[in-house]
Amino acid sequence: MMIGEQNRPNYFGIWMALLGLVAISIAASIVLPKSLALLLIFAVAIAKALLVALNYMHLKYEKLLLYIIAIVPVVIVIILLFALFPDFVFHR
Amino acid sequence: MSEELSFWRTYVFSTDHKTIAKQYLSLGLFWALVGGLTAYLMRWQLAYPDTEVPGWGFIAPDFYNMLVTMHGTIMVFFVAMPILLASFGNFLIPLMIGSRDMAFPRLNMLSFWVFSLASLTLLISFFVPGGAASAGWTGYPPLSAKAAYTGVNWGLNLWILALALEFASFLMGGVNFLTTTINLRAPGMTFFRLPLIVWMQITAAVLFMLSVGPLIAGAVMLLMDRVLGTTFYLPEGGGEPLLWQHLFWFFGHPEVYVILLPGLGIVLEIMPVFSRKPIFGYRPIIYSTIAAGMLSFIVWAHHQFLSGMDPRLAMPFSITTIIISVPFALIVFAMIATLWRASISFPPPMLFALGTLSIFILGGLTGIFNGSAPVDIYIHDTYFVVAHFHYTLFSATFFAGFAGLYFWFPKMFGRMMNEPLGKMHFWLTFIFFNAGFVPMHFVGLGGMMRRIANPMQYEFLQPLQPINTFITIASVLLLLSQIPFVVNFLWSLMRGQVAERNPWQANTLEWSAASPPPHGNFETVPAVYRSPYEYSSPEAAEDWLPQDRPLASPAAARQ
Amino acid sequence: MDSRAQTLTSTGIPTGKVGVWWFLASEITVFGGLIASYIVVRLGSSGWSEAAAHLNFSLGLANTFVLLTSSLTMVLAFAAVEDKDPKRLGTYLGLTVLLGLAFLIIKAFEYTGEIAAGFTPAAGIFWSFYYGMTGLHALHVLAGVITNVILSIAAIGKVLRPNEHRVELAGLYWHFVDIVWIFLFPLLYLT
Repeated sequence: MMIGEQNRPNYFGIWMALLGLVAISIAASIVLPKSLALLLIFAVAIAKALLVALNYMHLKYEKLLLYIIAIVPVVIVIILLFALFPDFVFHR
Repeated sequence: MSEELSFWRTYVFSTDHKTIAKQYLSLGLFWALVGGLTAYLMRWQLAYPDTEVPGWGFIAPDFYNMLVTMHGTIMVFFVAMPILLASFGNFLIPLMIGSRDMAFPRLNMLSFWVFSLASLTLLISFFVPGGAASAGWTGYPPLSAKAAYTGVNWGLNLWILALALEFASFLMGGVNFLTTTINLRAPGMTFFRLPLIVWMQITAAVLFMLSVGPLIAGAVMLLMDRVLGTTFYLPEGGGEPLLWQHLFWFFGHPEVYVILLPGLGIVLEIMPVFSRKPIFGYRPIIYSTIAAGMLSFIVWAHHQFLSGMDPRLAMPFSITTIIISVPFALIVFAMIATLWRASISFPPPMLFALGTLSIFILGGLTGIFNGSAPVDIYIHDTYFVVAHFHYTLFSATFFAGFAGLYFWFPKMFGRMMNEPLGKMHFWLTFIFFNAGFVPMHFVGLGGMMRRIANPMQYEFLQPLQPINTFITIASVLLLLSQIPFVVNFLWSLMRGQVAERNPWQANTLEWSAASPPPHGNFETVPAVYRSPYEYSSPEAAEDWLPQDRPLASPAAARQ
Repeated sequence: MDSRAQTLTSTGIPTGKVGVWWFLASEITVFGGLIASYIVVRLGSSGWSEAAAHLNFSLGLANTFVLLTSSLTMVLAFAAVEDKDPKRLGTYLGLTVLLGLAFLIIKAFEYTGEIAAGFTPAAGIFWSFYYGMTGLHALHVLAGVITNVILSIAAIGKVLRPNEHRVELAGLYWHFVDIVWIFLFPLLYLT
């Protein structure tokens, strides 16, 4: 599906934003206390992933079906992650 | 569309979905023979421990472990999946949706050849020093993580590689099935006019695609432990054996529904045809299937109640496991309601479909015992579990598989199978299967553990031995009962009565194509006007009404 | 030659794109399973930060920059397809290939350094996961580089027409590989 020049995201701008977010994560890991840093770094990672997925992978412009194909496995992985907590995180 | 291709391009390196389906069928049937051989050897050893198995010789204990492992691996990954999913799915999906082929024919061909490579890898593993894998089809570490623990080195590495290749093959197949069904449907073929087997196949494909990933990750980790000295699963290195179990069963449970759903789909196609009645509850069946599919992702730890996992997980997983029986019960009731007050005839496909239903019900009932954690404390790792999963798996794989083969043989090969031989095959199989596996429940309740090579070594099991002997005799007779099928299949391929386009007078689109369909399937791409199950419809003179028949004129209706 | 994957579609979405997204869905669960395992085993143990301190942070950061930039060049290659500019297409595809190769070279350099210092895969549970996760990722980068090389050659040799949509499909895969690294970098190097 051709998106066309008018409808195109600012690819360079997204790239700058991605680099900026990397800088923020690094700063957080140095400056912030451990748990807060972890939270911020994780949030930043999600933000970067969304920027790439929505803009570079054009999900922003795609039909609902592709969103569903992309999101459902993420949900499943999150279920797996939480189900593993009792046996590995809480047990040691 | 029909240029003359060389022998190699027509029969070996074909991109035609029908040929690929037959290729998968051939390999699957070959592996079924190997799997049957492992069953024979195991059962003989169990009934007459440490005696010479006729036609083979003595079975040493670690050879027995290898038999147990390979029987499971072969039957699940190299028989059930290639036949039910790859073969029936490949053959039927394009025909039933009115497409000329799959969306990605070359990817389809690649998937078969990767599967062949997987088969070759597994075959080779029998002949390497140390023999084939022997850590169970579930491959739990630490037993599987260090060669020293099983005495099997390359056999287990090749086992992991064979499975990885098999997964890659079916991932390619899954991409093809899903994309084809989503995008290549004929005009008028909406999602809610799809035959139920297509719904089942794509649900199975989704389940497989989304559940196999963690196991691929886990298998990479296991191979690294074995070969690179990592310690993912080795406690002495900070690793976690239990991690493998979670990753394995996270896939392992959806996997059993990946196998079951196409089997149920076959039954759901056959029943209306030989009842001359629409399927009861078409949409509820679809919604139940989707619900069961979603639930299948949150029941897996019912395989791990006794693994030492956090006991607080036992209750939620028991609850979800009991809940998942509901959508399947609905499907079973829908099948029974379809039969209610129907004009039923009993050719071999219908006999096997009814056999699937009855055996699946028994398997489903024992599933409830297994899924409840308090009960599972006693029956885990006993033959009660073995009986349960043979009832469910055998019904889905063999009874439904045979039903499908007898039903679609005319379409696949252009000839009819012999009916009396088919009926004999059914009755012998049905009788000896039940004769063998009903007593197995009791042997399990009596405490007989899984995977032991010699029950007579345990004093408390010795009184049960007559039952074991009985099960073995029934199993051997069950294996011999497959001879009528082999004879029938091969003979009919060459000398069977030539089949017409629609010998069963069925409604779905594959019956509008020639028997067998040519390259490109249809003379003209069909247009679809109605649901697949308009049998005994008031709109038609006959008791069937194909999906692609327009009702514009009375002359057309009388075709 | 009519490419079936390009023309037939009951949903309006190009067939090739549907196929690639299903493939990516399965890949999400592969890396997701591996990453989830890493997270829970790490959260339940101690001493990983000390082990992780031996990672070469600058090289990891360089690789992050390389991969993010390669995503930019990849999507610019696709923009060139949309603008029907074969020269730009060849240029940006070529750049993506070079950046991908750079990633692999840097990674190889990292590995040799670590192994020489005694941090082999057998050096402990952190290293098991480090090599497992980055190794599997690197294999995927390699596959992407090979795909992009094939596309570049076809683009430069002007034989890519009428299959330029394949640049978009290869791009989807490449961005996915980038997203995996977006998670791997903080998980391994920043914590």
